Amino acid sequence: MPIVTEHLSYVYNRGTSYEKKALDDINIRIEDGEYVAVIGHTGSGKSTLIQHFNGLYRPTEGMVMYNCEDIFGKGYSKKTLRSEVGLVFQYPEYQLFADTVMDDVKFGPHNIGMNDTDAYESAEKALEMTGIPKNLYDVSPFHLSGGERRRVAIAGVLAMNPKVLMLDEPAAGLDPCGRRDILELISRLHRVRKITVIMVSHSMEDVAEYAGRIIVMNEGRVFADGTPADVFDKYAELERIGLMAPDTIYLARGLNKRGFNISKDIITPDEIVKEILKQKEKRC
Amino acid sequence: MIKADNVTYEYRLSDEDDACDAKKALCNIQFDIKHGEFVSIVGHNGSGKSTLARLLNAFLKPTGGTMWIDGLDTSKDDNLLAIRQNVGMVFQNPDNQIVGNTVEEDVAFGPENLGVTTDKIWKRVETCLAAVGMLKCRYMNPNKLSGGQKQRSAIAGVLAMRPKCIVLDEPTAMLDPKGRKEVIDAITKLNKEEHINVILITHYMEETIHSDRIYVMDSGRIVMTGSPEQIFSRVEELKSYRLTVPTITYIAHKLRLSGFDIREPVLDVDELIDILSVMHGGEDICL
Repeated sequence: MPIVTEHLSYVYNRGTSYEKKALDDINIRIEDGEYVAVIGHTGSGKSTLIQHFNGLYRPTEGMVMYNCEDIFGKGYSKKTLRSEVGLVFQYPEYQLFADTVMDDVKFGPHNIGMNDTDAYESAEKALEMTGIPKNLYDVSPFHLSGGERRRVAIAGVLAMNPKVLMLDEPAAGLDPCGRRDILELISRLHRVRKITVIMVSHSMEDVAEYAGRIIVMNEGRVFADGTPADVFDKYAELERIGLMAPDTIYLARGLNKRGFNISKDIITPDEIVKEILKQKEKRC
Repeated sequence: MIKADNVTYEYRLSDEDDACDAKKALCNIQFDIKHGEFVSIVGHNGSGKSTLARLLNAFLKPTGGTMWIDGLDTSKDDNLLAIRQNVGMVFQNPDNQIVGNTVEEDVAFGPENLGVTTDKIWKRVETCLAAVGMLKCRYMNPNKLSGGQKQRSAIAGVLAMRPKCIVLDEPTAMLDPKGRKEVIDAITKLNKEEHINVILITHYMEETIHSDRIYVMDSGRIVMTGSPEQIFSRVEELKSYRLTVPTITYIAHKLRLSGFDIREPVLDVDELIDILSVMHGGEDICL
């Protein structure tokens, strides 16, 4: 079920003195099973873009299509769309509201019309996937730690069995291990359940490690779109728009100036360690 | 300047039946932060960092032991005004701390509350905005700023109260890389040039490398103390507290484990490039 945008533009506060073009002629296509990271500095249009994908915003111009259908076409069911294209907002743990973890996670499935047995089953599966143990099901979500609360919030979206999972800064504010847990969870959903993942992130390191494709947004336009290796290879251009490549890229480029020969495809810390060792052996 | 003498803090949780349960968030904390020091506090979520921050300006009072700020006991109500004037706080979410319609109004809010005269307030506003590189935004609406700019004006607002110490609780958690750099550069400069005490709480290890000292917290205790060099050379120990080291430090550590002769820790990209290229050119690379 690909997501396609055609000449998508969005203007905030149209006709007022605060008018601002947030998206400007976006043409992208996201295929089934992709893991796409959307990066860009604050205010570049990342979040506005992904909120078009499940119809929270109506394009000012152009079109958003899901599975070859215009999502704002006549008679198109937004309910079905939103159960298939799930969105986890930034700091989703602030949206937990129910008395127990289980009730909170069941809310989504109930809303899309599942009966209680199915909703329970679906919620249970989602909680299992996110690593929330059974003994927490009847606990108030407010008694959990920050990392657990976030996983419960993600479970709430997963319980609707989405085909596409969109996350806005899922690792923000977590400690290094908490970050890794959440990112590993998302990666597992992508690999095992074949869910399409669209993740908004500020962390170049996380993006380098997990995403297969990066869309760089700048001033409402697509600035770059490609594999992490290709996008980070243009690190000078990224700096120009207020972004940076991961430290590994700067290390590799610096070493290449001093006689190493590290390919642009080497982007994670473990890869560069392996490559340096290999080149050292070759010399001896 | 800031001294914790056996400080303990317990949260009281009461449920519907009023049964009380105490949870120890801090346990026998002991430290002495000197004038002008830059201290970073790291630790996983729930390790007690933010509770400690809230004890530093008497938001919370210790349930055991004593917290001294510039010689004043934080548990005495008479000291509160002086303590809060001396210890400024900057929080994670910039949007929750904006009160003014323009940046300069926002910065003026603090000194106005302290009863500073108008002409002096304007002078302070100007110096403080200049100190964080925000003078050009003084007439702007704070809500229209970028995250990094918002945080820097929040820091200016705190500075305008002329504190001896600034406590920043994850000030960069919601910012993009450029905003993070702006904020860290601004506080490093304040520390080096104005000799203001900085206490930085963060999850980003990269941000701590310019501090004089790092405290590592776990389960309400300070479990490691030392300079960034000392702390980041203990990679495995940090891992046991659910923490990591900066990427470059990690790469250097892995290389040393594979037989490279690298003195740990390496904190800077250029430093690692130098080390590796010397080895690459010389014979000593062949072990």
